[in-house]
Amino acid sequence: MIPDLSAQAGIFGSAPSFFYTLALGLLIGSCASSTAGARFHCLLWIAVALCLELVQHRLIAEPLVAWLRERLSEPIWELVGPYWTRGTFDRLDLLASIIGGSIALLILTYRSGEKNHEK
Amino acid sequence: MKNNASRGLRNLALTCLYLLGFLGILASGGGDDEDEFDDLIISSIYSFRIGGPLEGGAGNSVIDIDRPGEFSLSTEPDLQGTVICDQNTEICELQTVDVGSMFITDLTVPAFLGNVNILVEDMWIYNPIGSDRPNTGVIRIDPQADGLADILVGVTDCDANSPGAEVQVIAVPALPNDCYSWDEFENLADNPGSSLVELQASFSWAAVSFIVDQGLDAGEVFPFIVDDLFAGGTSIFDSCEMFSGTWAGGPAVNPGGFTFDWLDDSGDNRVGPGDSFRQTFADCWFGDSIDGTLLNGGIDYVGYTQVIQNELLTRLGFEIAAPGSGKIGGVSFDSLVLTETIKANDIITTEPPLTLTGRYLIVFF
Repeated sequence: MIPDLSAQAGIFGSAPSFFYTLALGLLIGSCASSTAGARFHCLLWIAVALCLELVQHRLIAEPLVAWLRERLSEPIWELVGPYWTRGTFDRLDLLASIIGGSIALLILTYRSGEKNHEK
Repeated sequence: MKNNASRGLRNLALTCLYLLGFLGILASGGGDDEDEFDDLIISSIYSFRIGGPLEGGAGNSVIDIDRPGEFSLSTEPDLQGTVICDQNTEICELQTVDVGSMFITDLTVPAFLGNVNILVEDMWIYNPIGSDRPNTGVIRIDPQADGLADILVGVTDCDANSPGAEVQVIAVPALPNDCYSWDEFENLADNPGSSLVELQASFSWAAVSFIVDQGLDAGEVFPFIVDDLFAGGTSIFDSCEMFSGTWAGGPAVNPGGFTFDWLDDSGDNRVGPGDSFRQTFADCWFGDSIDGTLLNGGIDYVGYTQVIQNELLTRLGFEIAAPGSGKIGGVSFDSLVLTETIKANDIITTEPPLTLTGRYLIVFF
């Protein structure tokens, strides 16, 4: 039986969050000078991604929008404002970011283990 | 020295990557893409909900209907159903009103009618689609006054000739003649000789039908928004239909018109989720010379919501106001005055005007 992938739009709609966290996690981790540093920066990146998703939650977004609108200049608000005014908090995006970031963390750990083994 | 330079480069690369990642997410606009609004299509069938709790603990949806000197009622609708839509014309027609829909109705004038709770107990089905009246359907009317039994009103076929052509009112004690043609049933509310049960039955059915109509009328503004017909401005003006009737009280301006204004509550300079709209009617006539409605006043549509999956609009409504706007999502009437025609003894006249106030939530999904 072939699964109906078109019916899974909710899951696949979170694919950008998954790949974005994974790719940036790998890039950031690979720029660190040590294995511990790679893990730290990858974890930090996951935390940043999760925070950015969480601030779309209505409870946070509402006061944040009121606060930012007064402080940001019009061109900057036009660029970043829609992230809160049009974006919606999505638990699947949150999950996708965690999974993507965890995979990046695993790859970085595995690669550093291989490097140590080669030495 | 070389190590220091290398470390500096790494730190610079890390900083750039963090910035890139951070700004990349913010600039994504929360997942929306300008291009995704280009080829939106509506679904061929939607469930809908009219009424229910408003956002942020603002209470329940309430619609107040007032006809001075005749009746005044306040109803809290929580109505579900389905519509069938033509994907080309984007016109949707009522298909069902679903079981479980209910209305807590407060009939303040005339007081002798008392308050009633109305529950849709058997699905209303409109067949063929676009019919004015359903072929099947039952409501249960629960009078809140002590000692009054429930009343069942159902679409039926009393003479076994034309399914759905008649309405039966089942009460305790039973009515002497409990079966009515549609016209007879609808006129019970205006007939001074009607019994209390007949008045409650006719009023209740009319209230449910009226709320359904108002909700579906509100749904007709979605194409203005989805297709962004504002042409770079913030206001659309359109003329209404030409009135060619002869009754006094017709539109002072013929044809009248309406404006549909966009309020960019989300502050992103484009028509979309979070925004509000206001429709203002000025002597706006819908219908032909013998059957129609004259509208004056305004309707506010606050907190547009829209969900798109693969270019398909999977959710449309007025539910959640933009954060920081200080508004409450939903459709609210700003003293909207409706004057409807009525045909009695082959003479067309108008009923006294109805004034609508209140706010309700509406969503198609």
